[in-house]
Amino acid sequence: MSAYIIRRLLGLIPVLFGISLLVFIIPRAVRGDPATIILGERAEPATLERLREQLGLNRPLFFNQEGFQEKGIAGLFDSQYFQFLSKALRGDLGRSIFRLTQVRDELAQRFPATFELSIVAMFFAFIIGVPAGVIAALNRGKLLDTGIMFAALAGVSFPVFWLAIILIYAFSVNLGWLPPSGRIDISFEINPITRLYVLDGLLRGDVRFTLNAIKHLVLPSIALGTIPLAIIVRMTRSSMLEVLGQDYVRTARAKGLKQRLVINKHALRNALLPVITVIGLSFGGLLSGAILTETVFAWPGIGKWVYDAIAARDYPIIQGGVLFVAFIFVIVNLLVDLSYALIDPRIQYS
Amino acid sequence: MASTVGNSSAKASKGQSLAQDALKRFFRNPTAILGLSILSLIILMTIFAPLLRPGDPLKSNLKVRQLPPSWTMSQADLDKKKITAWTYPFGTDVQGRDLLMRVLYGGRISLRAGLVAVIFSVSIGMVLGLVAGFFGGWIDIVIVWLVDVLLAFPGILLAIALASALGAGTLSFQLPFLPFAFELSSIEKALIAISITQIPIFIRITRASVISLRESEFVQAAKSLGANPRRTMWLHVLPNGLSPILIQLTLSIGTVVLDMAALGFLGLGAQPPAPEWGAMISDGFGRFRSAPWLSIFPGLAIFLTVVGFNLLGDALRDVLDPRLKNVS
Repeated sequence: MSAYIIRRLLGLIPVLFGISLLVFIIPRAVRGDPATIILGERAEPATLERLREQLGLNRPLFFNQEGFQEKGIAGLFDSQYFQFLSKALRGDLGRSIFRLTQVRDELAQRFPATFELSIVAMFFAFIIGVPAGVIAALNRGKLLDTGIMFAALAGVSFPVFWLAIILIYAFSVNLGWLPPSGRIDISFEINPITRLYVLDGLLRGDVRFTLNAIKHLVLPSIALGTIPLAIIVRMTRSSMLEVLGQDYVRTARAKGLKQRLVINKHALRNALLPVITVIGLSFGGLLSGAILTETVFAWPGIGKWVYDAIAARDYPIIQGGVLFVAFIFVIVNLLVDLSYALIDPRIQYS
Repeated sequence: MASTVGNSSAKASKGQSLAQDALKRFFRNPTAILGLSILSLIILMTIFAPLLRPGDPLKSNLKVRQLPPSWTMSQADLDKKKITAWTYPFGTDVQGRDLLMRVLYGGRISLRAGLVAVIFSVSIGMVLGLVAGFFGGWIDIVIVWLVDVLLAFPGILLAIALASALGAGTLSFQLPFLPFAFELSSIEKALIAISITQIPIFIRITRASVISLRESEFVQAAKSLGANPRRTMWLHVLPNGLSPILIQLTLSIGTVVLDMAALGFLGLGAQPPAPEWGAMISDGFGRFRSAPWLSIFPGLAIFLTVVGFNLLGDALRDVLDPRLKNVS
């Protein structure tokens, strides 16, 4: 097992290297000189030159041959890419072009909002998706099954941002039940502890604050959770059908166990394994879906942050945000694979 | 399902080709029929858009700005605007443009985008997957690395990164050795960005089915008869590995339509006043309290189109992939 973990961790290195390469190359290949982007087309040549000097843009892109001749191996890596990489590895993602703040600091401030939303969305998808999938499997071929499966298919066919708009229109504008945007009413004072507002409210024992934060979470997490919900329903159903045909389920039935016990104890436990993978894989989808959902709900997480940066062409933020999300996604996938090994002792890693 | 399997194998033994058999099962599948009907309807409506709603989808008419769907209006309001209850079934936008006409024309953009992007990514993905799976070795390692890296960007994120790097407006560039410059509109840039995100999926699927076929008996037989590798690859391996590619292709068109709309919504794809569904929802988003129909109708159009492709993809999976028959 530990050999497997080490091998998986080593396998991450080429992928992370590739991600950093792509994030570094794309804007440079297409947009050209970052100094011109920052200062604009009409900037003085001398000013541009000074900024290039400051940002290290006068160095070669990948390998510094002059540096190699002067200083050896260390000089070879005195280039833009390796500077970008070594800074990124230390968590330095550059500064916002307009606000001049550290991208890293803004990211740290906004990530908890996205994290809270993603967790709640996934929770919503799980507690509805698994029972729905089980019900569909138990009623295979009947009207109920067809209905659930069609709903699941519809769930992956909505544009997320459209569903978000419809939800706001129905539940905020028309019915007035839930707030249309933001994380908390502005009348509340925010003294962040964890920056996860529901948790903060609970920690302080502030019931009104907690309830208000939960109210704000309902619509965005439904919008964001719909796609994973649909995927979980389909996965649970097909996994459940497979398990129900197994010998041990038949044995459990033959020895006279009650249907509920057979389903919950024997079938569902085994059927949930592939569902866990799907949850892990959907988590990445949530992070990119957050860009759309957070934009519609003005939810101050990294999705909204990246959207605003796109509108303002603030490339360091786009770059930092993309790099961060891809990194998280890779890590989550690794954790899913490892948890698989822990949950299912039959899986042997050699 | 079990009876269908029995039937088809009995028929197949009477000398029907695999494709004929699959086609027959396809047309007996209710999911397939539903998906096909929805899509045919949408495709016909967008093709005949100029006949169904003659006029210019970009031309504004300030006399009828932001009208709700005309069948919801009162008779007095209708008289005041001198229109009937069915003049603007989807309402009009802030420039007084007929929303139904724009939704119909928007279908042209989305469907064309879906087809072009998928053809582009399937051709590149299939070749790379074939090469990787068939030849193995270092070329396989490099291609698999590329796939892993591209798939490390979840969902639409890579498309967003690419499209935002390509910037707003028209981009013109010159390739070395070519005497002319290329011009890319914002829709084309979004299309390229989305296509690239689909390539690794096709590489992975093609490679997987090639590897499973590489060691199969008929491929070994072709090899031992002295067929050259390229001939074996194109003639024996690829046709037998097509089913999963075809299924993914159908599902991918739906994904591309959704992603295209998402980029349009984020302002990275089609630019106003182009009648693109995502851009139209984005336009309606700012006014959805007073004019919800601006977002509702283009969204419904996207939904129906994507449902159509997803139904078709599911049906193809049932028909073409016999291993899944007992599962779903």
